[in-house]
Amino acid sequence: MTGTGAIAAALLAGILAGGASASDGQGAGAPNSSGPPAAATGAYQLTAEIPATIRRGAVVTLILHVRKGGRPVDRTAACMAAVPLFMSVEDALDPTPAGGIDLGPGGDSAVQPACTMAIAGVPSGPGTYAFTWEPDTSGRVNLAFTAADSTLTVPIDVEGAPPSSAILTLFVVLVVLILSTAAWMRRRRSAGAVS
Amino acid sequence: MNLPSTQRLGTGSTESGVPRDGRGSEWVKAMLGSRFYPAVFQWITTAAFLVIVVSVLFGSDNSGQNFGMAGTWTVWWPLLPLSFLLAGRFWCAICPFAWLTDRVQQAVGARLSVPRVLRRHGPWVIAVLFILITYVDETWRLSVDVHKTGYLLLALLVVVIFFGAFFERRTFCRYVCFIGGFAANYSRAGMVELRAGLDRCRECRTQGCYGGTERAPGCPVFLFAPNVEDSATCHLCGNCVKNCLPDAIRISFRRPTAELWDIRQPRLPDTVLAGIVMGVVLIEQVVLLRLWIPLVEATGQLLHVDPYVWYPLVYGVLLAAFAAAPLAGLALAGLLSQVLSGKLDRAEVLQNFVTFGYAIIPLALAGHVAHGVYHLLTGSRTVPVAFLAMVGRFPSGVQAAWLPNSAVFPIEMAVLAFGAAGSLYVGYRLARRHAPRSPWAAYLPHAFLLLALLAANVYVVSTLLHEKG
Repeated sequence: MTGTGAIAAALLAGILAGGASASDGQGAGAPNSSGPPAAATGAYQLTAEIPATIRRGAVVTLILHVRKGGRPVDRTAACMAAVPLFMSVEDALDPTPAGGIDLGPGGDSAVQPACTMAIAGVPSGPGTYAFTWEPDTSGRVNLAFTAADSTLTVPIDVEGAPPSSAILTLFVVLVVLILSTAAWMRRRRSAGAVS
Repeated sequence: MNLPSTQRLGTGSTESGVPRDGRGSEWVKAMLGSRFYPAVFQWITTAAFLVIVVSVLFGSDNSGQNFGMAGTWTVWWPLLPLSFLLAGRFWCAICPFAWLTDRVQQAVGARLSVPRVLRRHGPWVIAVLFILITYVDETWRLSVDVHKTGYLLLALLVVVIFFGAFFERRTFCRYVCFIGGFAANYSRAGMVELRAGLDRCRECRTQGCYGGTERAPGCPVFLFAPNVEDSATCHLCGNCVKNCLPDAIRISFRRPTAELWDIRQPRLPDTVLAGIVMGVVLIEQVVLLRLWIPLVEATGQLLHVDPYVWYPLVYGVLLAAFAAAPLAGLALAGLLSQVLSGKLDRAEVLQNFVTFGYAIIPLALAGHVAHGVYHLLTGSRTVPVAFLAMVGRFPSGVQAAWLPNSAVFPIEMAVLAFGAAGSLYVGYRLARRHAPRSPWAAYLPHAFLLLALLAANVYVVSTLLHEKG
């Protein structure tokens, strides 16, 4: 990623190992290639560096390169929160940060290792990238990148993350505490009634 | 058996047009009196609940492919309001939480009396919890996040176990469950009622309906059958049917909304909850519209905060506004109604407000059902496949929608039309009772309010379907 060429990058909290790339017109060659091929339309050439598999709650970096006429487009930088925090069409249409993924309009060509997220769903145009996804029916999500009239769609496997062990432990502890306290109170009351 | 002092024989009621001592549905009564009822249903729902909990905690993160998520949010939740209309609070009888409460109580229950604060303010507690759960749903994205749904279920389990372990009967179901608020109001508008024949009750010396017998425990929600004059609280668990030695219990089908026509003791919490539910039904759909973005940003400007950084605050303000709007409209309509009726004093206005709040219930129910119909018909087709996918891979090519949006739209409109008709009729009947000398003067402001609420519902439903193609 250079100052003149790269566009990109979203950093939620870390990086998943094992990246792969897909570009418009080569979406079928992406690691998760059984999804629909990427669109090869528009004046921009889009290339995305995306891990083969993403995992909910895990940290991942997505990089989107935008070129025109073989040259990187200047003065654009897109930020994408990487991991889908939601899993429904309804939520994908929700542009609020509470929904998860946000994409801001580009700032300048400077390298941005991490970006502050702005609102998603902004109109497309050079340096401004819409980010949408929709679940398909084969256990994947389709990440769709848009720049002006150019689009790139990449299917990615999403692995389930295990539930929080802390919350599960807390649940068990609370239940045991409640049941044992209630049992103790019942014994005490019945003992009092007998005496 | 200690019968509470308030539990004395009622006066009898014919509010639904069904004679108090008339015959009810014998087959329903036979079902409720069966020793297998509600156990058979409870075992099924409890098993389904267990599968759902395991599924949302350990299954696919894709909510459309997770049986627990799809089953909960695209089948159970949308069908719930409809069930109250068709079968009263039958769901509450077969709810796995009720089953769990009973089991915990049998095993370790301390059986303390219901805390006074719950007895006195139970409906308000339920109203607050209902708003809270709505708030948390949107700000934490509960209904679209698999694990968060799982954590919500675990949290509810802890609360249910707590009340089952420490307090008598189904204290949680009666005084705490956040569903109880709209369940009560919708069941009032519903088609099923359980009543006791007072002639036979007067002969009764055992009062087993309240205290229980060797056949079954007493009423789990603290009802004394002869005093049951509405369908708001009874869970149709069948215990009173089993325990009633004089065979005085009658279960009848009635015209929808009939109970609302001449509410004898209108209560402020019922009216407030009716307005809140109406507002919540609207905001639950408005958040899906494009309109929501400028609304959020305008609210942020109003509060001088970044609307996305402070989204929980902004949403809280909007939720409060949506919940309060129908109530503000009702208050204004009540004021105008009293002005037109020529009886303008504070007590009369308050009485008008509380009474006509019941007219909102059918429309709120219709809005809720219509919204549920949308989710059911456009998102539940994957449920059977998701169930099978728990032991395999989710296949390609499965569509979520049963019907295209263009086909769902007229169904939603029809539901809203029925609800509006019900509300307008209830309002008219209430006006005849409330202001017998000038019913139309009392009615017109409320009719306009109901039409305005209908218009708001039609707008959000049609815009949502239009925007989603």
